[in-house]
Amino acid sequence: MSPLSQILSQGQEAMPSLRTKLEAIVETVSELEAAAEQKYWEGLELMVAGNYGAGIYLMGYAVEMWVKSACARLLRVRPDEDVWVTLEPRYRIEKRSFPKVKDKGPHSLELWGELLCHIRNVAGVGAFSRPVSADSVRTASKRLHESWWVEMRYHEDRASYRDVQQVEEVAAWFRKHQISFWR
Amino acid sequence: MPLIKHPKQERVAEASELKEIIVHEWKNPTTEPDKPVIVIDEDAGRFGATHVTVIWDQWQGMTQRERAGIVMDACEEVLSNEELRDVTLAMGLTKDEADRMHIQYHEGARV
Repeated sequence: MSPLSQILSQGQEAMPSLRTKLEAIVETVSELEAAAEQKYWEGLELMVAGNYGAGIYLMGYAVEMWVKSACARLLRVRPDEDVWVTLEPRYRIEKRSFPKVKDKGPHSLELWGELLCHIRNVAGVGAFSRPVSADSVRTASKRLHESWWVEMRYHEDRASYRDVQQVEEVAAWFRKHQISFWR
Repeated sequence: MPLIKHPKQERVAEASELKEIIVHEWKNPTTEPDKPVIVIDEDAGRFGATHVTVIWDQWQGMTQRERAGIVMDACEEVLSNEELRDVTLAMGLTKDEADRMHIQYHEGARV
């Protein structure tokens, strides 16, 4: 056995893999919100260090998680409950309600922006409180959708600082108003 | 067992001191090169948001999260509740980082 294999096999015996550890934790609203916050700051660190594409990539995920956790909260998922049990079926059913949205994939920010407005409406909690509005949620989601999607990882980084500014601006807006989305 | 001592990280000032310096500079702007440069963009992007960026080499060694917390603390002291509501982005950048982010500034300038 090579020295590297020995080290790896010793590690496996000593502690569970990262996958084992993370998959044992339920993906709750609280977990998503904590992960979003972490990804946002990690994204900002990367952007400031000049790693534009990587920073954008993490920030997009942060926004996706804020929007999804807001939808879950509107659907009365408790902070300690599994979000997907409720969100997954709603996503599958409601995504058909938006014929104008081309990208209906599970990570489509444009779709999730629409879903957030729709779910808020159905939940009967009233209009968003200023300065947030359904229009601003849709605009922000669409703008970010133009700069972030999961498959962007298959491309070499060609992001400019203007792309970074745009994503950072929109992500910061989502972060600031995350509570207003469901309250 | 040998004693292993990790020396305390050198930091010129603690968070509250950094905040006080920013607040003072915000209220009484100077052109001194070692003072923070406070860039306020009151109409950032399409959402009518305010971005506050403090450019200062004192941030060296601190995370973005720590810096943002200090900048927001300073914002809370200087801005009204109404103005504070519009702040969506509070950042602390060193001069090198600000250059990398293409943020327009020069000492003493307030945008």
